[in-house]
Amino acid sequence: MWMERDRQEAEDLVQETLLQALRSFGRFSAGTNCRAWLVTILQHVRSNKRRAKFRRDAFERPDDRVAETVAFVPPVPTQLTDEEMLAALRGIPEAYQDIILLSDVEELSYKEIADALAIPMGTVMSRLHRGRALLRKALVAGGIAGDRAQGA
Amino acid sequence: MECREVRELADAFVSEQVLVETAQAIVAHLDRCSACQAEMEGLRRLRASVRSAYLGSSDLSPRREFVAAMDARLRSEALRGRATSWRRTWLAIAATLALVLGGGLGLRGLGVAGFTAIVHAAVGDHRFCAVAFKLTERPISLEQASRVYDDPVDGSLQAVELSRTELSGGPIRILERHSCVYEGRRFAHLVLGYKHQPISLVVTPDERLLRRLPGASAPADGSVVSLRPVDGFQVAAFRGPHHVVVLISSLSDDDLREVAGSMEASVSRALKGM
Repeated sequence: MWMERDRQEAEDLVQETLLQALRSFGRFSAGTNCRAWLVTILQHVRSNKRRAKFRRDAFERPDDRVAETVAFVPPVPTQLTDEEMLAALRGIPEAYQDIILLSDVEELSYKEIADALAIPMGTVMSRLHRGRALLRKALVAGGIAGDRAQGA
Repeated sequence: MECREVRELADAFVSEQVLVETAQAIVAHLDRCSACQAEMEGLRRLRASVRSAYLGSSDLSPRREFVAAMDARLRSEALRGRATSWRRTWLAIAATLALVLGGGLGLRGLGVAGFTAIVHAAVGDHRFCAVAFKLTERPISLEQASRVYDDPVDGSLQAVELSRTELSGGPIRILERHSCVYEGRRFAHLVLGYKHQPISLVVTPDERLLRRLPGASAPADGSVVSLRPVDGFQVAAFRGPHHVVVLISSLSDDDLREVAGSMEASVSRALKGM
């Protein structure tokens, strides 16, 4: 739902993912992280849908676009509402949102994220670092960090 | 370790993706550098806020009608498969549907599939740590883990004491307690000894997981449930105030439930004090 914004699109994505998981469950290794395996399938399904719909690969651009824009990283506010955080999260590029969610919400390891997104671990680490920095800047842009950090 | 190196490792450190020796070096630096300490606390706060905001959002929950429709669709798909694989297929359906019921893929929480993964990892930790002493990373003390990873569970387990030292089959004792890593998951780990068998007691991160245990109805606080054996080990669990506590051993199911029952009050009391 977060990734697709639209509930119908999200449900279609989940349905396709679960059906693929059911058909290929014999390839799942018992004892490994089932959630990480399902996330990997979901990312493949999502990537295929996007390629079919938009005919472009969005994953390389976010790094290039923001490479030089995160010079100063503001402090994280001490008080933050859920709405403020979600709004700031939606304000950063999707590639970084995905990495932050997989790391901070799903608590996947760097290797599990790398496998799920089919990217190198180094890319996971750099995107997570940039994503968190962009998130902190987005909080400032929303007028949150400056006021709260000064205790105003 | 200098500030520059600590800042470069900060994201990996708060995500618990550094080796324990590196984490110790970072903590040693943080003890003497207030600037890096503030930065690390800010990153932890950011991570916790992201998680809290995401998991607390009702807009991201799956619709019940969608879950019901998926249930019917997956069962229909499974029944079209070969008869010899029906049990595995039903397990797949149960795991994936419970995942959706528990919050959906990437939507909210871990659900049963996540809990099952944790139980399997806990069993692996029991096998390689408590039984074989063959972990690739050296365990650290709970006190050290509490400082490094800022997780109150570590400090709570340090305070757990036995409510009874004798059970029906003889004496029970705490052999050791530490923080260890198995396949990328860190566990606060209590190792008990009873009837000449080691028993591992580990604490999982989220009490909501207990609501969807496979093969068990959700118990009230304080009651012990037996889970399906994993890799030949018996597994039992009980719900603490904020966490699920899992016990693993080669004891019989009845013996393990007796041990779990004897530990429940003291562990729950310690976790409640967090």
